[in-house]
Amino acid sequence: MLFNSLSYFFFLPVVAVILYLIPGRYQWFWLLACSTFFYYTLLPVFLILFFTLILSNYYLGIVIESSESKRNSIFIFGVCINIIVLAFFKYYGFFQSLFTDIKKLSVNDHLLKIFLPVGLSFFIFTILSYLIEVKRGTIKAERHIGIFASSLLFFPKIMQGPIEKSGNIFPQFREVKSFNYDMIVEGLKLMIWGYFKKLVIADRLAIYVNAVYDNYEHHSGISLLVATIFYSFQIYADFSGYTDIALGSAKILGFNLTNNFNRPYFSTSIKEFWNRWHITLSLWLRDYLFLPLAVTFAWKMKEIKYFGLASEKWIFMFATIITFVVCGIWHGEGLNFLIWGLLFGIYMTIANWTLGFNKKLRKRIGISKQSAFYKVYGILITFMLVTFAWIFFRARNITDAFLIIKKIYLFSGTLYIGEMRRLLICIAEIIFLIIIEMRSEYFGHLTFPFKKSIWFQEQIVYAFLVILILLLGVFDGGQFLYFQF
Amino acid sequence: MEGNFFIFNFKTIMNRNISRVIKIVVFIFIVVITDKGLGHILSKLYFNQNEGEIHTLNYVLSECNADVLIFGNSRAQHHYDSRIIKAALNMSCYNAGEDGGHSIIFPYAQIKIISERYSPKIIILEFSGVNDFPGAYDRLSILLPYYKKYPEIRPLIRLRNRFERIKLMSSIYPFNSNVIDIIRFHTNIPEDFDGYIPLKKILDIDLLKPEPEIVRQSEIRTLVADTNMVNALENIIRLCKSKNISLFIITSPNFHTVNDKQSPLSPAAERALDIIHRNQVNYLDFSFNPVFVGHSEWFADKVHLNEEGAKIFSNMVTDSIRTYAKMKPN
Repeated sequence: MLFNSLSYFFFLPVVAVILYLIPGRYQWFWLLACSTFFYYTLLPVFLILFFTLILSNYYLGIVIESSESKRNSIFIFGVCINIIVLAFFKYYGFFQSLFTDIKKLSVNDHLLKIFLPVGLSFFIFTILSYLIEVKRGTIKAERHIGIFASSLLFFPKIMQGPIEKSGNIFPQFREVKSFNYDMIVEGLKLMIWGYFKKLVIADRLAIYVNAVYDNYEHHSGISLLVATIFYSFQIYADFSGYTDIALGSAKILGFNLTNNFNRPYFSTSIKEFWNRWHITLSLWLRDYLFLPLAVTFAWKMKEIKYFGLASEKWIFMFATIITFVVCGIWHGEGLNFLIWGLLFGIYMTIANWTLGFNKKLRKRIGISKQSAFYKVYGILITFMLVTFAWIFFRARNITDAFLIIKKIYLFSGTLYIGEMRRLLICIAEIIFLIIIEMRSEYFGHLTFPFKKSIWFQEQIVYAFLVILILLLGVFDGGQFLYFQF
Repeated sequence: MEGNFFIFNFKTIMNRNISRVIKIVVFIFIVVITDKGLGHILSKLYFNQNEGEIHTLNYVLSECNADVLIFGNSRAQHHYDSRIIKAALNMSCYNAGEDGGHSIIFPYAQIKIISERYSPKIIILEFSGVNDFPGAYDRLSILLPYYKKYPEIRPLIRLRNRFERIKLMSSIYPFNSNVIDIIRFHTNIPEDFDGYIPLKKILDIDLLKPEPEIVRQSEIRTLVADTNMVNALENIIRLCKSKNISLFIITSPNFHTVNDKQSPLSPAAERALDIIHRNQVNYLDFSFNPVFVGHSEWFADKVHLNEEGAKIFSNMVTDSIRTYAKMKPN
């Protein structure tokens, strides 16, 4: 069952109605049963894996908290076990392809087929966050196995996050959930906007992007450039659309999940971009990888200049590059993902190293950081850099990515239009998205882009969105892009 | 005092609940009214198109009464020149092929609708196999606007999804995939000749991806027959027999550089051939025809003939049909 399937429209109300009817102390059980059923409809066999991980990490958390002498070694053991499980499923395909090449076997051979369980990466990162927080003593180990299991398997977030911190999600499962009209309406509004982004924008852009990227050999540089720009909006609409549906579903059930997106394409720098894009992953990487790495390097390095640069600059570089390489590898096993991560590491390092130079330059030409010109310039540069990085993310492999870049650089040939009307619709959708986001960004409607003071106007806007979904939505567009991660 | 407070609170709660119910009802009302109104307008526009693909499909299903009808996907639409077939067989001919990688279920739906109205003399079916492929059922969306008009194809449309019946409660949904084509402003409509649309470009052989010399047995094995598609094939044959229509199932040429690269048959292909032979249907396989091997100048891409190739192929098809006709005892 996917969020964009009709079964979900029957599933969610049933879950909500029964949730509000049953006594508070049994609500976790109902949610656990529903989440199990939800995952069962996706990949039933992997429920065994998920429940094994839940059980083992439940006990690991308790042991880490209660053990004094072996706390560190148990913690390291727990982290390693989780990472090994993730790595096995995540990188099996990579080794499989090597193996099939060597043995001349087909990838369709039954024994070689192992899929990455949907949501495993998000699941393991949530668990690692839990173990780290327990080890640090910032949260208590969860003693109620039902709440532990139901919060980890919670169906609105199991597939693509958000990667919730235990301190935020566990207490919500202890609360008694009762019918809250305002929260349900908010949830529905978020869901409508999410479906619009997914079905109308992302899936329609995907038609052009897939047509060009899947046969890039036949397409010109200009077509590849347009497809790459479209992909920037496609992946944003897809993933943020998913997040809105997840957050909306959770709200209907009385839960507040963390928002993952904050209009990232209005960022004026790469650093800001990562504060607005996939926020829960960025926070995870910052808290559990970047900061510990930076602290470790700071201990090891003396406070002197190396090659004319202060030690903190080097520390920032090492920690940033390692963090983003891990981020890249987390997304996929191919070299292209590694380069994608590395690129962001390099962007961030250059930005950090040239902070002083930029300040001087701004002073010399008399441009304030707050000026509209500087902001527009920053937004455009950031968008271009991010879009360039998306080439590595979208391409099938590293060779394809470089060939695509070469073609874009040569900029030859004519634009693939397919059907002019469809291309125009794609452009209109992007403009519509930008206008709506701009309204939220600069005019203060932060969560709900269509907030109106007159309720009837708001009703009309949301009804209009529903009609547009029925009219322009791609209903056979398939799954969400981030499923593969 | 307490009583007043209770009444006041009760009234406030009641008012709040009434206002909530009103808001919900208004929202549903706006959606339903817009859906029905817009759906009605789109339906009018859809069934009154006077050119383009929608017009062709409407015409084939409701008006066409040609002696020879050609069915199938884009390969049918671009490979069978109606003018050549018409002249060679001395019969009226219309190409009802449709772009879009359709499975055999789509021509079956077309034939089912048409056969209610009249019986053509010859049906040429460009064969697309009976194995499922990505998007095969999704592409039946082309039939959605006809759901209400032709009850006989409803079970076929419902194969798309088990919730299709519910989705079709919306009046807009049937036109979802077509809305851009309906509001087309009449630009860039390709010229067609009784449904046949020639492709003008020539295959650039340098752009072809290198393909493995031997198609791996294990990959071929995965192409198993799809029950619905097998049923569609059997039903087409049965329907043609019952209406006394001469059915020709044809696989048109693909581009190959060497002729001896015949891949082993998939289970789906074996099943389809078994049905065809068992029912003694005329089957012509041009997929590896030596005449076309290596002639990239006759192809628009790897699986589509261009205008020149279609001309040669259409002549070959008519020759074969005439040969069959001579062999057939009256």
